[in-house]
Amino acid sequence: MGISCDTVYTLKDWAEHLGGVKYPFASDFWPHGAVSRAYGVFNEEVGRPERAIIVIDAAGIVRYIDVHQLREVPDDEEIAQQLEKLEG
Amino acid sequence: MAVRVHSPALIDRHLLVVYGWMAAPKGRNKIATETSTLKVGDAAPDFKLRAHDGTEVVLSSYRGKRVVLAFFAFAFTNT
Repeated sequence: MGISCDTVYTLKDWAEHLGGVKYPFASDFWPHGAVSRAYGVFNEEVGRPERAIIVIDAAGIVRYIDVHQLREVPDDEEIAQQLEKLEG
Repeated sequence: MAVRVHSPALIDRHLLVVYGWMAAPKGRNKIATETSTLKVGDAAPDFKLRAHDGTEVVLSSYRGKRVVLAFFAFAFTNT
């Protein structure tokens, strides 16, 4: 799922703009950035999350963390590989 | 259903944003592989958030499934 500090209304428009999304865009708007903070990816200076991928296994354990350059797309193949490792 | 009229300039700007999003380079330059509060092996903090479609997303309700959380900076940007 995607998570940002945008409002639900902004995320709704963004999802429609992208032609629909197959997973939820979750709003961490209020209390502002509370979830991003809990995950240690909130940027206190500018009030938004860093670009970060967190992979969680079926038992709810963090198995992969990639805090990424803001203007680079995280490597989807690497994420897929991480997910495959968790299979079964 | 409300009909929305966008100015051509606005449409152009949106197209640029979409193309910008698609054109963003795929990078392997990780800033970090742990955060200030989490490392691999930790329990993922549970949360409840409202999603773009109005539904409530509760992380613990995904137990039994693998989950990818993709934090991003802002909608309508390539960040």
